[in-house]
Amino acid sequence: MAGLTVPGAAIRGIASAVPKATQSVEDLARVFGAEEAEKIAQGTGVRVRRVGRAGLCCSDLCFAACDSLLKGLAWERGSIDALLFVSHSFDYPLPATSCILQHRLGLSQACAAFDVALGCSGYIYGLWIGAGLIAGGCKRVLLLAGEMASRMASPMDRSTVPLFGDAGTATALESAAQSRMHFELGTDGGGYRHLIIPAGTSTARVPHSAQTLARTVQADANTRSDEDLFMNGAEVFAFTLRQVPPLLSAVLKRAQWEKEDVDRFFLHQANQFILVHLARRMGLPLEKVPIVLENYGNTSSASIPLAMTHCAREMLASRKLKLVLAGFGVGLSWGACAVELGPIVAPALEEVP
Amino acid sequence: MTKREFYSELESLIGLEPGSIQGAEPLSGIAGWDSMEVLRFIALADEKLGEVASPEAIIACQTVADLANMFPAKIT
Repeated sequence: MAGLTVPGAAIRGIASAVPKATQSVEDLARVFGAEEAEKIAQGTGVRVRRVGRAGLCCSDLCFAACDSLLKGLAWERGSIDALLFVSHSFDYPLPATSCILQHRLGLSQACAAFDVALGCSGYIYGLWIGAGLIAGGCKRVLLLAGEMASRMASPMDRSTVPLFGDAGTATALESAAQSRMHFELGTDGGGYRHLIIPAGTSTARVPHSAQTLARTVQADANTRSDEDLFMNGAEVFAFTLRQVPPLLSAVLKRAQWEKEDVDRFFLHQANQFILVHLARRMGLPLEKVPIVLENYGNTSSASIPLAMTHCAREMLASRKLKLVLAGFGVGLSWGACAVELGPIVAPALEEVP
Repeated sequence: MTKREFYSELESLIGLEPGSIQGAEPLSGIAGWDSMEVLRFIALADEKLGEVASPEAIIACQTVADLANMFPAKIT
């Protein structure tokens, strides 16, 4: 894409919610053996994931985060002009989950609500859309981003189930004359097969059937069905190396910042190995590139705001910060945002039973 | 980078004895050459050679020498 700078929108608050229940390396050892589980944990950096109980939806997590955030901001529910729900984990194939959230949150019926089906890059796209809505006249926009990523993986697939966790987040955007957000975004749909759930709903290219539901041993020796997540880790890593360093350089250039000016680089929490390599490649000190997925796993579009609230809550609440946020993955899709923000409202993490 | 230097980097990567790789070794016969090592190899090529290795090309390699031959301009 092109990059662009959106004037007039500011982030006023961020909140996160995760399921109370966890799965650990010890739980994985029961499926894959202790040695294999530990090897996977050392490679991915994930030791504990938050995994929602049966019946818990992503919207429940986003609701909990948003409810907490709105109370912290003391915003009237009727003052919200738009709500975006960024996720692949919808309550129903139809209607849009954002509509249900409008009702649950008690927002005005004058509020525009819509879903955005993106994952790893979704938070950045959500910020871009939200900021654009404000530039177009909205005063207050809620961005809810999350995933029940743990449910997408076959419990017998060592390439995915140890990696993914569940989370929901809420970000409040408001019009602010002096604020600007800088964006760089892009897409390569030619890589869509590298991160995919190949079959599922009645309207999908490969509809649900008994055959698509059957879990069998695949060419990579992992057991999954066509309705489970498939990830070609090597292709996704190669994509990350091709796209993310130039993405970060481009957004820094757009913001007219040097990398030394930036307080924190919050990158999509894909995998510890990838994040450490990216930091080294970009010449970024690791203390400026938070890695929190040890505690949560890869939570898709929630991973950036979850990382922000996990390790920078006090900093976010107390001073102005220059941040670079970058999401990359499923689609294939990528985006980065350079934003100066703070102090903002950042409530404590919500844990949903 | 010379081929010997490249093989030394691979030995470190996979945890093999220095000097144990000569080039003709089939990848399928190397203990520890698995999906995680492929990721580490991609990272190695990026860091040491400035090249993003194609996973498809890596899968097509039969021997260690084939890995080196992926980068003719960088490994001599």
